[in-house]
Amino acid sequence: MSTEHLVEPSADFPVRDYGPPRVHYLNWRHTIASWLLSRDHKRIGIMYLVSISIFFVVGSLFAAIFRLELLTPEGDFLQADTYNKFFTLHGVVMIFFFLIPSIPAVLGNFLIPLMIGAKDVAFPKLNLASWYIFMVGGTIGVAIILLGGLDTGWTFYTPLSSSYANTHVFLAAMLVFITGFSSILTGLNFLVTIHKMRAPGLTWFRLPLFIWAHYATSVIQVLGTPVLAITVFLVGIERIWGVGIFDPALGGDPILFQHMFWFYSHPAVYIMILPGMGVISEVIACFSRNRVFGYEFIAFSSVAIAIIGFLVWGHHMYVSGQSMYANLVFSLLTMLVAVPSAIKIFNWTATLYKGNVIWETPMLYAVGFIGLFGIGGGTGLFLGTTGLDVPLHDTYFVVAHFHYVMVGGMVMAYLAGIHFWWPKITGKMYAQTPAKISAIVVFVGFNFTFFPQFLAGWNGMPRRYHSYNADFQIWNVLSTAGATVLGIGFLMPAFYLGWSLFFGKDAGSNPWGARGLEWEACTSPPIPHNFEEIPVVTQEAYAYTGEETVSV
Amino acid sequence: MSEHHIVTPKTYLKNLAVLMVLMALTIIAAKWPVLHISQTVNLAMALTIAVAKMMCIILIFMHVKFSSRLVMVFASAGFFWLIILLTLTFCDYASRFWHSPTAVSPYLG
Ligand code: HEM
Ligand SMILES: [Cu+2]
Repeated sequence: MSTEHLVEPSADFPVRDYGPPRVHYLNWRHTIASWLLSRDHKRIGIMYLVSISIFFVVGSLFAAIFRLELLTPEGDFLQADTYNKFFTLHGVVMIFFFLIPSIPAVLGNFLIPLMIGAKDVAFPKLNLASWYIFMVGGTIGVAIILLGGLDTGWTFYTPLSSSYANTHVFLAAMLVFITGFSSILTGLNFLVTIHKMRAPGLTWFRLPLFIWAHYATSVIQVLGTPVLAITVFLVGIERIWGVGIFDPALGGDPILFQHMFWFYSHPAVYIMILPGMGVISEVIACFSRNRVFGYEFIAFSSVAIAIIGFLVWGHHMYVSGQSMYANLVFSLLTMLVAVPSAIKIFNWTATLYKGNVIWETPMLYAVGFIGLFGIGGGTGLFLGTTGLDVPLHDTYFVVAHFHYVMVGGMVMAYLAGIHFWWPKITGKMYAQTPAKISAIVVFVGFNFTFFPQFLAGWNGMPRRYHSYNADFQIWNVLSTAGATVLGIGFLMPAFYLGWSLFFGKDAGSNPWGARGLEWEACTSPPIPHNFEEIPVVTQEAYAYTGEETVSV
Repeated sequence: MSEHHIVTPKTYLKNLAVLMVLMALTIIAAKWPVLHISQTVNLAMALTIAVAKMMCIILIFMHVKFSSRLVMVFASAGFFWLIILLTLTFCDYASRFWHSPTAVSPYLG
C-alpha cells in the first residue's frame, strides 16, 4: 500500500450540514407498489429490516416458551417431542431468517453503496429478487410452523432428517435450499458492487472496514451456501430415488452429511459475525475519534477468516465417529482461525487507547460486543481442543458459547449498527437516555441469561432435553430470569426508535461527527439516488482529528 | 463490461460437437469390454473425460475464457474451495480405521 496519496485530516470539520432534503428515498413515492417493486437498495434494506424484525419476534417467542419450561426439572407444559420442535424452530428461524440476513441484508444493503459513493448496488433487480426469495423461504417456514413443526434441530442431521424423519423435513429442505439463494444473491451483488462501483479515488485501502468485512462475508456466502443446498438436495435424492449417500443400509455414510453440513455451517457462523465486526470497526473509530489501529490487519483478518473459516468444520464432529487423526488436524486448524479474530479484538482495544472515547449508545453496544465476543471466541477454543470437547460436546457449555458469539456478538453489533445509522436511515434522532439504558439492560440481561449456562454445561447438563436433573435447576432459574431482563432490553428499542420516527428531532446529516461518505456527502435520509454528484475521495478512511463534535 | 466479447454461433456449435464426441467416448469407455482394464483405470478414464467436458462448458458456454482475470479468479476459487471440501473430508475417510491396524477401511478398499 502506498502512502503518497495520504491527505492530512482536515480541521474544518464537519464539512457541512445539508439539512433534511425535501425529497428523499422515503417520501419520494408513497404507494405500496413503489416499495414492493423498488429497486432502491435503501428501500430493499428497509424491507429486510421489517421482515427480519418479525422473524426475530417469532424466534424469541419460541425461546421464551421453552425457557419457561426449563424453570423446573420436570416436563411441565412441553413434552419431549414438542420441546424438540420448539428449540428446532427457534434455531432455524433465528439462524436462517434473522442472523444470516441481519447485518448484510439490512445495513449492508443500505450502506454499501453510500459508503463507496455509488448510486445503487450492481444488480438492483437481483437485490429485489433476493428479498422475494427470502420471503418465499419465510413463507415455507411459517407453513412448517402451522403444519406441526420440525424436530431435527437446526442441523438436520441424518438419519433424523431421513430414515427417521417424522416431521416436515421435506419442507425444511426446501426452505434451506430456497433461502440460501437469497443469501447467495446478496453476496454476489456485494462482490460485484465493491469491485466495480467504488467512487473515484476510493482505493481498496481507503475503504471503510465495514466494506472489507462485507466483502469477506460475500465470498463465504457465494462459495459456501451452494454446498448446503447440494447437501439437502442429496438428502432428497436419497429419499426419492434410493441412491445411497447418507444411509448405511444403502451403502452411504451418515457422517458424510455432517461433513457437508458443517462445511457450510462453520463458515456460516462467520457470515453471522464478520459483518458485525465491520460495524464495530466503524463505531469504535467514530467514538474514539481515532484512526482504526492497524487498519490493514483488520482488513486482511476479515479475508483470512473467510478462508481459514472453511478449514475447521470438523471441530463439530470430534465425537461423532470422525477419524481421530482428522480430529487432530481440525483441532490444529481451529486454533488458527481464532488468530484473525483475536487480531481484531486487540486492534479495536488499541484504537480506544489515547482516543477521545465518547459514550454514545452505539459505543455502549460496541464495547459490550468486544467483551462478549471475547468470551464467546475464547470458549470456542476450549471446545476446539479434542480432549476437552469430549465432556463438553452437546452440553449447555456449547449453547452458552454460541450464544455469546451470536447474541453477545452479532445481535449486539446489529444493535450498535442500528443505533449508529438510525439517524442516517430515518433522518430522525432517538432519545438518548432510554437508548443508553437499553444498551445496559441488554448487556446485563444477556450475561444473566447465558453465563449460568456455561456453569450448567461445565457441570454436565446436556443440551436439547426438556427435563433435567434437579441439581441443575439453579442455573436454569437464573437463566430464565435473565432471559426476562434480556427480553425487556430488546423490547425497549422498539418503543424509543418507533417514537423517534414520529416525534424525534431531525438528525442532521452527521449527528455523530463521523467520517465516511455516508455521513459527509449524503443527506439524512439520503436522496433517492444517494448523491447529487458522485464524490471524489482524497483521504483514507477514519481521518478523525478529535475536533469533531456530536450534536444529538 | 466494456470489452464484451461476442461469441459467434459457430463457436457454440463447435463446442457442442466436441461435447458430443466426449459423450460418445464416455459411453464407449463404459460399455466396450476391451476397455475394462481395472476399476481404478476406468474411474480415471471416466473422470478425465468428465473434466474435459466441464472445461468446455465453463470456458466456452459460460464465457470464462473471454472474461476478465477477475472472473477467472472467482471461477477458479470455486474449484479451490471444492478441493478443500474433498481433501479434508477424505482425510477423515482415509484415516478412520488407522488405529485398529488389522481393520481395512471399508471406504477405501
Ligand atoms: C474463535 C472462534 C471460534 C471457535 C474456535 C469455535 C469453536 C467451536 C466448536 C469447537 C464448537 C463445537 C462444540 C461442540 O459441539 O462440541 C462450536 C460450536 C458452535 N459455534 Fe463456535 N467457535 C468460534 C466462533 C463462533 C462464532 C463466531 C459463531 C457464530 C457467530 C459460532 C457459533 C457456533 C455454533 C452455532 C455452534 C453450535 C452448533 C450446534 O451444534 O448447534 N462459533 N464452536
Ligand atoms: Cu464451528
